Amino acid sequence: MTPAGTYERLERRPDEDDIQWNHRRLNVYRMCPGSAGSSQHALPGRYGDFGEPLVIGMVGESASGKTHLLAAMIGMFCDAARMTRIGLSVGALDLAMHDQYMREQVRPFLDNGQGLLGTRPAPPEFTDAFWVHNRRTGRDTAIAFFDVSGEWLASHESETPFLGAVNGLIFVVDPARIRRLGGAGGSVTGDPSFGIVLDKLARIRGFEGSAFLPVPAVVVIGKCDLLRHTEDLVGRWFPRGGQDDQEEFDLGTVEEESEDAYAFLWTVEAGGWLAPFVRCADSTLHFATATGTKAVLEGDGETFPLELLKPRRTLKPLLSLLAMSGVLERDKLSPAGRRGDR
Amino acid sequence: MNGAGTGSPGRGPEQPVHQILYGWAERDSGGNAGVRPIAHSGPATIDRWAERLEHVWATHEAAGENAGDASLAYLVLDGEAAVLRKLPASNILGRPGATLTHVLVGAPELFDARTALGLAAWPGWASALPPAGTRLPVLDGDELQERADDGLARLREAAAALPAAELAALLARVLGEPEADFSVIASGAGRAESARAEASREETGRAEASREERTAAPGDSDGPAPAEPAAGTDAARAEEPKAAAAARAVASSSRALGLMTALVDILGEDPARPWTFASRESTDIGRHQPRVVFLVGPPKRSLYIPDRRRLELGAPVPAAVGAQAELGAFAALLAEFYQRSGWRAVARVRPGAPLRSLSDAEVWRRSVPVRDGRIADPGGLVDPLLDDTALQSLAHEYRGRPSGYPVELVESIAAELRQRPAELLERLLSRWSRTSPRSGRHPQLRSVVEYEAVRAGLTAPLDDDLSGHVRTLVGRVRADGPSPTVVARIVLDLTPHGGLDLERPAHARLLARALVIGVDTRLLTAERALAATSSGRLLRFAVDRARERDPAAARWLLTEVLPDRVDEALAHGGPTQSVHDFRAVQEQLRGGYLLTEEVPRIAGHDRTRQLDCHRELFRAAFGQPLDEDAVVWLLREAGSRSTPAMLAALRSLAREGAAQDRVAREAADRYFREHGLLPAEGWRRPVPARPAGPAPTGGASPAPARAAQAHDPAPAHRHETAHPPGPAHPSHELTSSDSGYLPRPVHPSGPAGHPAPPADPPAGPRPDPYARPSRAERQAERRGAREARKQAKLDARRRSGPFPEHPAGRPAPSAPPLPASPPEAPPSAPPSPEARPDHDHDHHRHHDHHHDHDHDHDRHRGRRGRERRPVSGRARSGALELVGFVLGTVTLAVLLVLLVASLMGRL
Repeated sequence: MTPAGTYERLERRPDEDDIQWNHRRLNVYRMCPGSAGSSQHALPGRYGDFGEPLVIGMVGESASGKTHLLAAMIGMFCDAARMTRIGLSVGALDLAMHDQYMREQVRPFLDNGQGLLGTRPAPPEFTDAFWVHNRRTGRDTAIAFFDVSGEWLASHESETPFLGAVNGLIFVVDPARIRRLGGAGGSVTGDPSFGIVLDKLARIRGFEGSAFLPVPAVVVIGKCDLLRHTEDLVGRWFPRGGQDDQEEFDLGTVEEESEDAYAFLWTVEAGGWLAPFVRCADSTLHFATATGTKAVLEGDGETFPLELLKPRRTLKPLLSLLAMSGVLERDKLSPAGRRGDR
Repeated sequence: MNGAGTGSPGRGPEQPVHQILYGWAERDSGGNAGVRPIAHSGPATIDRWAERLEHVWATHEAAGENAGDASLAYLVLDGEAAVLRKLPASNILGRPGATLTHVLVGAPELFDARTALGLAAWPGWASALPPAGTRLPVLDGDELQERADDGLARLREAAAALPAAELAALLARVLGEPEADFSVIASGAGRAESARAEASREETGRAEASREERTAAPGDSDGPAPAEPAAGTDAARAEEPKAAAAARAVASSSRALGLMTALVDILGEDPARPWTFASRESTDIGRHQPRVVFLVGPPKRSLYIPDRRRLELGAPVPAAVGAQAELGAFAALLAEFYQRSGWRAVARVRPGAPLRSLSDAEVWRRSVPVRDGRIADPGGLVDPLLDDTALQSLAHEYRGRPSGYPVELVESIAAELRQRPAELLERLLSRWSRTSPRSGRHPQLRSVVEYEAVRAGLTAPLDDDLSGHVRTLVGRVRADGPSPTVVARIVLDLTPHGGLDLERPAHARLLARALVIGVDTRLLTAERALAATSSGRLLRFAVDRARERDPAAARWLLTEVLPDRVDEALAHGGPTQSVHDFRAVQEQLRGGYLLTEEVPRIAGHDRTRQLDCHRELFRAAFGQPLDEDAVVWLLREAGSRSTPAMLAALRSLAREGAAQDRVAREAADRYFREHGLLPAEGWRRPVPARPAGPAPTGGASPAPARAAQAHDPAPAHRHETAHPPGPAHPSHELTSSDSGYLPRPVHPSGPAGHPAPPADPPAGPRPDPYARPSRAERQAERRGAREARKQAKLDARRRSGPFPEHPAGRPAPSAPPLPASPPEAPPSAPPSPEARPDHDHDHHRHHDHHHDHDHDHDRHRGRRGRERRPVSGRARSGALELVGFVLGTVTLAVLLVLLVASLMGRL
């Protein structure tokens, strides 16, 4: 890719040694076979070098918190020290793309407390992509994330070609949109985008008529900073003092957390948001908050007070999804390590 | 006018414009949150446009990042046009990233790019969400267009102040690839300037924004439109901040809108490919992107392959070479011209056809007049010819002048038209046709258009006529039917002092086009317009005209131009001797069977005309009268293709005696042959040994012959016997005082060497029924008429110039010589003597071996000679003679035997 954003064919020069050649290949891409016309696109050059990639899509209506949740999630996912604790090595698959995402989204949000703009309705494309090496299994996997605008997801007519490749879904529940919690403006039928995406996925992948979609999914009840003081089922996963860091890496608690999340949604009459849990063969439910606090309107934008900005439990849904997808050992999800003090 | 003020309850507007408003909806009818169409003027419009705008309606800027900086977009899809105004907004919770997009939908004829640009300052754009359940009215397109005109004028002012280098860079890219779509990335300087402007108005902007919110808050307005002001004083109060906001939006995005305005103004609209645009975007990815997208900065890295060209204004541009460099220079000229002279001036130099390819741009570049390194400003002189409003203004300005428009004005218009491309003149001539009412009302202008269109049609070279405009112009001029006198006058104006030389392509093109258009040939003849053309070339040109189905032109050349030259050459030599070359004409005749095929084309079925043509050809080849050698040569060259008209012409010119007998014998033979009384094809009477082929030497220039004759008391005899025939001279035209050397006077029908007294009619010899009786008189008459016409023309030019309708005098326009062109190789020129060694050799043999002429000629002439003189024919004639001899001998012997027997019997 050239600085002007266009693509040129890259060929090794006769006098080029490996170092030079690899340096020039830092930001190479491959044309995606089958794409054409205005949807013609490229893929990171090493995208296909790690076996079957794990393509993860964020699903939720507009302003449900997908963008902030994904930024916080990737911010944690890129923390080498944290990921080592669970036996994973992570690196960017597309250096330029990752740098841009970190520079424009993750760091302004996590380091500066800057609120992120809503995702523009536009043709979906990778938000960021990584390679992951499991030290225990020795397996490498490419992981790509899609953050698509809520308007786009909620439209039956919109183009969502990424659903043809997606094999992991993160459904984001905005509790403020639940009528029991958000008032008259809330809904009792759930997030329309959940059903639309699941229906499209079943149609595109040929799963219509099957009892379950063979796509692992996690349902993340976001913005839990709004709930943890009022909802016991939520609050128990956000202990005071922020002592949940270690627990976030313990996938043995996922089942219990899922039970609590399911119960919570059920009790607030938000059964409509449970569609992924019902329709996907593998799914877990989670509590998380990407910001830890409410945004403050400053000027014409949002900011988060740095002293209060604290994403919590944002990595665990991703780790659960990795375990269900086989990137992590699946047995980590077994409740053997479940702690009984909750 | 505003977004709601024109909704009419009853009959709808004639130019309906529908509205759609996109804004944040926390929960729409489908249960979705997000930016959605929240108000509209008709569901059908939404149904059509919701999908079309899927990739377009949103903006991606924080509401506070550039408050008031709206993006204006213009789209044309499936026969409908839409103008979008996108305003960054926040959702209901205050989170930025949402969009308030107001869409106007109408016919493309109503919403062209300029109208869309002009709507940037429309105060009716929504700046806040309307109350729930609002139904927007259908707007009146005519009123919108009026408002757009004002906005466009302001944008043009902004465009005039743009950095010329930026505009030139953009133009150069678009001219280089007119078929491509473009993304224009704001330059670093532009972005910094925008940021400074934003910072400077931050405070006032906030205050105004808050006032806007209050103004547009639900409940303040009871109308259905998003931006509708309340009635009366409320309306006035509401209008003010909205107008201020609109003006601010225009100011902040004036760079992109100004560039777009300049682009449309300079390159012109193309209904088949409208100049769709978006003035402020963060991405150019996705379907239905406009033709030109202005990006606020380098676009976000994307894996989608852009199928459009991106250029960053102000970025260093690699040095262009060749055509690209020329286009770059042309773009700089255009940018400077646009900013100096305005959009109307550019429109005047722009081709009428849309710019769709690089070749279109090249044609345009070559057609634009450049003086002193800048595009010449036509100054609006042509406007009255193109626009009736300007014409009325002009007429009003000079109303009441008895002499009509001033000569200086008309001359200036003519000078301006002379700089314009052929296409414009074709358009003008169509507009100012002979039957057009405006031509009747403004005859001076009609005259100048006609004159300049004809002039351009006569002179425009075809080398640059990639689009066929010159051909179209010539066709248009011909269809318009200009006065042949005007055409002739233009040709004469363009003719150099010495006359046209048809060997030069430009001269040949000029005459050919004049003949096609329709020219007064008598005037050209009188003015000796072809004096510089050799007779051989003239003959080739005539043949070409005949082949191109222009027999009248060919007839004119053969029977008017050529005879005059021959007459002059025969009469008194002088300068015309170098023009008329008898031998060259002989060569032409020899190469084309004496033009026996062309003459019927030229003269049609009129035998008299045919005879005239042949006569003039023979005179041009040999003068008059023709001696026996010339007759023999001509008969041999014609071969079996001789026609009665040709023979009649030959007989009329042949000298009495052996020459005429030759013709008579040939005619008789032909008669008997056609009636089956002589062997048909190939049979010829044996040619006597004496007359030899005249062409090699007999066609020599007559001047030396005459010069020799002047000192030789009996040159004619030697000429007749020792040399092939040359031109003879009518006796009654020549006197001892005509020139310093006197050719031997020869009576046309009298024996050589016996001059007839000029006063006495020739006695004895029978009159030639075909000869034009008064050639000398006609020549004298022509000469006199020519002088009279020349004088009259000079007087007329002095009086009126080329525009006869001018009431006042006008100096004759300068007649610049035609551009010099390398002489073209004559297409039908005979091979040079050097290129025909066999031929020359053949002719040398004629001199040395007259008695072997036929055999040698047949042996060396090749196929044509063999065809005309087949060996079988000669063998057949020899056999007949032998048989006759044998039969005669036998008969004589028999008679002798019978006589002897009879005598013996008596004894």
